[in-house]
Amino acid sequence: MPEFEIIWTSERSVWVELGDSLSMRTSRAELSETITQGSELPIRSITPVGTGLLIELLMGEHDLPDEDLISRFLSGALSDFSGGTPPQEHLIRACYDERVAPDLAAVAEQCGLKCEQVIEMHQSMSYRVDSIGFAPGFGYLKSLDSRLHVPRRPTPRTQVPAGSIGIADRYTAVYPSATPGGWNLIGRTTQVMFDARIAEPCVFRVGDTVRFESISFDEFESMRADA
Amino acid sequence: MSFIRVIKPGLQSSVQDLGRYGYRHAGVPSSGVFDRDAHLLGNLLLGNDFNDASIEMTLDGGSFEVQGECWICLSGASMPHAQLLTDERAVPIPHLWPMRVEDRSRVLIGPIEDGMRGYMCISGGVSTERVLGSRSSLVSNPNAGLGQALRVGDTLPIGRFTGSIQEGLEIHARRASDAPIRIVKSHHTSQFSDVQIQQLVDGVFCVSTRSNRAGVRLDGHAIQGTLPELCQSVGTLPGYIQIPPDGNPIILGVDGPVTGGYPVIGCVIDEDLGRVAQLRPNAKASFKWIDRKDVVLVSAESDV
Repeated sequence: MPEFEIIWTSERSVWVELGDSLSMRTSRAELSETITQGSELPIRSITPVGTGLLIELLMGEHDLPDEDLISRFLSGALSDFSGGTPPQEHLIRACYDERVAPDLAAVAEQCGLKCEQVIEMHQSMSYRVDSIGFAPGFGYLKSLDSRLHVPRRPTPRTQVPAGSIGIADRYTAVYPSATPGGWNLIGRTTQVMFDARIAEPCVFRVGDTVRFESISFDEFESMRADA
Repeated sequence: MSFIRVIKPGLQSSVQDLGRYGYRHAGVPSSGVFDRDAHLLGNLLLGNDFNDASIEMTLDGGSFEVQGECWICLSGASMPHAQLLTDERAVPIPHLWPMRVEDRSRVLIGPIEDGMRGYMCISGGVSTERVLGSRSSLVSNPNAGLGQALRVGDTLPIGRFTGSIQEGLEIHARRASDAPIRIVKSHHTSQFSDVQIQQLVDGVFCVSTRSNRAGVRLDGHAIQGTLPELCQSVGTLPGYIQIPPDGNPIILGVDGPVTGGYPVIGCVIDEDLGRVAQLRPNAKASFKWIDRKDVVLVSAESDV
């Protein structure tokens, strides 16, 4: 049975730290659903992040459960959890042309690499969706090749175009919609990462894997025209 | 069907219900009314469902034209200059008092005082399309397809009203108070030093003008000393108090991000979140630690 630690993070929420007790093959997203569905707890939301889950409990007419009760329930849910469907793999068609990669040259220079090497390293890795936050559908993808670790830009851009592929510290990510943002932009995709009109709006789920594949600027343009 | 047309949106107005739940795993904050009690009270007086959407207005409330008929009720921070304009006749709109609005009448809200956010509840509720189960607007992220702040010319449908107006009920609004905001321990409290934990409640903070629905920023009393270093991001909720590297606390709001990389020193209790919503720029704010178990009834029995 996987071990876990419960930390109260307010009068209405607990963080469940699973550490390494669950295999990385296990979909955190699916585990969250299992816990929500089999809910003997009054759960309002579950957010899977990295190696843990944030559980927001429903306030209101219910008395809030104590730690033992939560612990008992989670033990049950975790030992029943079969792991079901494995995490999904996603392929992102990325255009690394400088016309849509405003920071590629600067990143290459900071890392002491050629632009081609940065592109090669970025698309050679398989990334894991560690968490989805910052903005709807924004997946923090790790683990970026350590030779590409650069800090966020000192001054964030006021508007980053949707589909921009950025890197910062240990992570890479795709901006699902136009927002302010401080990551270094090394490419762009036309693929839709988040669509609020569909029932499961985010393409990624925490625990999924993601790879990038280089496309030419012409291909990018034609995909953009089709979109 | 009746409509509300936005003549002037005010500083920042938006359609909000009680929030969008079930999508935090996709990075979607709950949004919803920031001062929940105010919204509930307005809806109660109109005989609405509690989740019927209202218009949340910030500092300056703007003006609206009603096409068709409806009742409105103002709640939240006071709007002392609010008036109803019908055939060149202007009538003041009292706080927490249902008012009948006739076709082509205008509602002029004007400045919002003694707080930050005012609410206009409408009989039948604002009936814009639901997205992911809610009419709430993610004002902090207008391009995500989850609504945005109201703009000039927006026309909002009003839902069919089946309730009954509660007339003649005198209710006194909660006044803004200087009492400390009550907080409980949170994710990283134990990783802060005792001195830092004490610093949070010793000082009086000043609410930054950069505050919004995503976060209320507090200046003037930065937490000193080395801050805990996190090896991973954590899930976050409205009310969480993050301490970024400059030491100035940020209280996450209803549009706040669902994950964060800053250490969380404490969390505002649910009951006091509406008071955070009413903090005006440059207002003073202070905190008081309380025990989690003093906030709620804790039950060992599963009766839910």
